[in-house]
Amino acid sequence: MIDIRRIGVRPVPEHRRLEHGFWNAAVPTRCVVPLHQHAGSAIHPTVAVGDTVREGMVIADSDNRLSVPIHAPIPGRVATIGTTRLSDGTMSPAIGITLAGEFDRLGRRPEPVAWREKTSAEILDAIRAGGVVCGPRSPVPAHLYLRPRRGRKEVVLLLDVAEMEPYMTADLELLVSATDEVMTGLAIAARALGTEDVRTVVGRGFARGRRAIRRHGDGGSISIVSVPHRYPVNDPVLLKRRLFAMERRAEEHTELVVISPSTAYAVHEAVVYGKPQIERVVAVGGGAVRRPAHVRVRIGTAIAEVLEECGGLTEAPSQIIAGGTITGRVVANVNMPVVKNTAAILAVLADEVHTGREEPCVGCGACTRACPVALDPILLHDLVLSGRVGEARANGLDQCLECGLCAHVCPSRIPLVESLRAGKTGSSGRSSA
Amino acid sequence: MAETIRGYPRTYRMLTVSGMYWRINLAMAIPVLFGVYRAGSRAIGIAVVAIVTALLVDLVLSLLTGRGESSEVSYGRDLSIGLFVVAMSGVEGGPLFAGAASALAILVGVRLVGGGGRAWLHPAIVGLAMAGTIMPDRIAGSHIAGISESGGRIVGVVAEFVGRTVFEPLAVRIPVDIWERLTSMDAVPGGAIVTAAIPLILLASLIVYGEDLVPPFVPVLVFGSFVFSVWMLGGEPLTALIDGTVLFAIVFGPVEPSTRPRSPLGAAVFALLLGSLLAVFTVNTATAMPIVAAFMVAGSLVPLLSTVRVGRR
Repeated sequence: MIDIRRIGVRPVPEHRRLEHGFWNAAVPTRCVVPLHQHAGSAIHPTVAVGDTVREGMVIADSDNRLSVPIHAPIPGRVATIGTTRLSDGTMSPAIGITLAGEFDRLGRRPEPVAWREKTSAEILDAIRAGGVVCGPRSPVPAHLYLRPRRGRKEVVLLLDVAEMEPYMTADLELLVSATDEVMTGLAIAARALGTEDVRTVVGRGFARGRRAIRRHGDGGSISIVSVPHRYPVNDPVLLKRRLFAMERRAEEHTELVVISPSTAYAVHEAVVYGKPQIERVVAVGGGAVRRPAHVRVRIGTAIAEVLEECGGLTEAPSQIIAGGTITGRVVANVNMPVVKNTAAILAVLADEVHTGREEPCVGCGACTRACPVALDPILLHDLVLSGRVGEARANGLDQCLECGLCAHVCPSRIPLVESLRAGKTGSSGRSSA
Repeated sequence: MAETIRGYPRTYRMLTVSGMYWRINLAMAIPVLFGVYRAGSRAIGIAVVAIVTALLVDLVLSLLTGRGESSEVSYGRDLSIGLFVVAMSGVEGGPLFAGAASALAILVGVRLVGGGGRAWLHPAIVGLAMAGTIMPDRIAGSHIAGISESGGRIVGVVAEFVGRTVFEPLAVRIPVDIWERLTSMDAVPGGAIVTAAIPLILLASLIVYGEDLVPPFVPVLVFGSFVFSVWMLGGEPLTALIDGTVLFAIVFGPVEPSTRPRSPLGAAVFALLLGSLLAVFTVNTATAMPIVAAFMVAGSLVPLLSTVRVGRR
């Protein structure tokens, strides 16, 4: 059994802690909505330049079930249909909307739908119609992830409140502020999956999250799995092995489905109120941010506007990052839009980055000690660079979680994740996306 | 806009290789400078020659091999090698021995069997071994000293009482001159420069472990294995404990990354082996350089032990 207490490292504390709670950011005057926000089939615009759109209206879709529609985050006029660069460096088709017209839903909450009377298929249809995606790093359509499993597999649904990457606290704040919605979303997801085995995993030190779950009406019936404050303890692969080893379940007969509070919230909104996923709570932090806090922003809002919402920057940051300090992406252009899986926007100072020139490996073994799946990252790195990918696979290359911890602790600043990922995909070791 | 997006991570733990070596040097300098101060003017010459030789030889070799100037990392490592050589050298050995050991450490330990990064064996140990082979009459003694029966101070009386009531049943004796050994300002004749700098070595070890320069279980296992093995071999473990040279080697030997295996399990096996070898060689007075011999034997197994891993999780 994995001793989860010894997995990974204790995360480096945030430069300044973010304010608790969140507020709604000012509605942007212009949104650029990328159409590629998840893995799956491509979708195409259903509007043309000059069309008037309402808030929450479908602006791009596909007949293919392997995709989700995209909705207008603000009412207005379609200004452009072109492309935009995403923070991962890829280009995506995008629709630009300028604010105009009125918010026809403003001020009145629609009548809630009796979701308990819906079948799994109806719930999944509602989730798809809401354009809900899940997964912070490689988002997938939620209606595909939450579909009932065929065969004899037991399904365990887990709410992940144990994100340990520094600054990735938006989900925790959402859970604390909207506990009923998140827990109801979890129940809806369980119904869609057809499972009654629902649990939450909460990191030690997240007492607010634990209290919120217990305060909730159904909280008493949902078991809480406590995990230590170490990154990447909440990785689904590690959680699965841990949980199933504890219960002596065979992994091949059981499947673990992990969703975040933001996904559960979006599921709730889509199924109960028919509201699409057009906004999300984002953690805005880093040493250069004047007021580190959490804000709810519209999808498609420029990152610069989100930073302005938090008082702007006190000094020039070393990097602006979309995502966490380990697995996030560098933002090359602050006009890049917020997408559905942008959980954090960070403006970090040089003393938070600790960057350095790449040096030869001194064999300190820090990567080996940090690896949560007990691989030897520098050995795999050397094998991949020398073209011996087969040998690297024999040494467990495919088990790499790509958590980034090996490179994070490397004193020689060797880009280990890049080479390991390149080895897994079969490309050369020194790649750039 | 054309741009290159590197993979993550976006931020790093603070320690760089250069930072690591400068912290090692700071920690190592504390007992070494004390030892030099205590040993007098001859030791100053040894320290200057050893350190300057290490830096100069590396610089010259960098220029000759066309690899340009040494980096900050190289300077840090050179200094650490120089300091290690100073610590292990005896005052009687003189500057020639220390200079030769430093030069050979860089030439052979770093350049021939190592490189800019990983080295096969601790370079300073390689240098000391080769210098000792060339100049055997200049080797500093680091065998476990016999128990002095002198004493008379209160600490000596207390040590004798505790020794008789607690340790004697375990066949362990407390050296009655323990206080003198810990606080002596006189150089130990025939010993290495850091022989009696025990409190400062312990102080420096706080920097080593506080900055996470080595997994703490490594020196703990070396230490435990050494003391246990000395006891098993009929030696005096407590006497061995207050030998500054061995203590210095236990604290600062495994700090050099290339000296220990990468994998945690391999490092644990290495630590147990190193402690046992240190005991065998220090108890057996036939070995001229017991610490160097122990590190050479255990270090030669490092590449093999690096492959010893627990099953993948």
